[in-house]
Amino acid sequence: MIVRKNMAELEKMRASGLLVWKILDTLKRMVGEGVTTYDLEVTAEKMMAEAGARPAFKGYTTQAAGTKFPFVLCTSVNEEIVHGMPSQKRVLKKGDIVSIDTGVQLNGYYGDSAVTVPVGEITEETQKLLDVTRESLELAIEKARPGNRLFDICGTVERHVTSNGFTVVREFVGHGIGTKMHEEPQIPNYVDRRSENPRLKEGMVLAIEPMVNAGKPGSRVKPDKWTAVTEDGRYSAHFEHTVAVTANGPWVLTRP
Amino acid sequence: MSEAARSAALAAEVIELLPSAAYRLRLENEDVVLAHAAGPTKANFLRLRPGDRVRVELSPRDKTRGRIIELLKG
Repeated sequence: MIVRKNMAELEKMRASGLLVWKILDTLKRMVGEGVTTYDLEVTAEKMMAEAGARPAFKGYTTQAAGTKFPFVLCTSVNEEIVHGMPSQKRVLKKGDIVSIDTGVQLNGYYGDSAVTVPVGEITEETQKLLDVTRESLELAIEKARPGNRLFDICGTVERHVTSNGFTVVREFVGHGIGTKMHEEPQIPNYVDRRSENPRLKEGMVLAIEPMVNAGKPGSRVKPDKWTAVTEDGRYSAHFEHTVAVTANGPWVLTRP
Repeated sequence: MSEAARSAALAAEVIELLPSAAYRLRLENEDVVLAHAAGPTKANFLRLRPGDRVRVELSPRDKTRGRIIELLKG
């Protein structure tokens, strides 16, 4: 069942969302040559503590991984798709792209968002990958209206990505969000006709997150059980927003 | 943080053969479902027998029906 939120709940989710935006906005400005992904982690953790929010990712367990995720951020560099771990050894260099994904729990409600940031100058092809991924998210957000269906969102991402010659990751999906980080429904970035296609209704809150590979869609998970990388080693980009479906259309909670 | 895509496939055991390449299966949670052969189990005219272990993908709309997608060895 997809949990729907009333206006008071949406206001609380808005507060979580804005905190996530503030953190990501700060981290985005920090990214540069010579910065380590652990530097980002430290800043994010400090900002969450100052705001009195609980990091959503730290200590999060999945059945597949079987271990607790040890950081407040997922930092996924270049061929890493999602769930990369911040590390003091990972020094960002020119031409890298780094996906920063984070979430908080504030007053019981979650916010979840991600951006992919270029480090210095990047190749034209990589820039196109970032642009197409961001555009596919924006187009999908536009579909988050009452009366549309889940597949409108999935199909919009898939169409925009494949028509630009890139591929979507199938092993990881977006999700409903609220008092739990992962709620119903699962939101694949492609149309999976085997799954249900519920109608979107007022009060649903969705974390839409296209994960786009420059090369083949295949992915594998590294031995740390978390970091997902592209099978062919080519770059992958990832953008995410928490979006509420309202009578007035989509309300992106994780940006001002 | 993205979620790992849920797999629709489950392990099951064949308990009864039915006409038209249909089978009655028992899932690991003891549910009994009706499933038909699909994919390699059908293309290769693989004859399943009671006791065989298979992987079955359940229909999202009717959780008592499914398609057998693979024969599990051993």
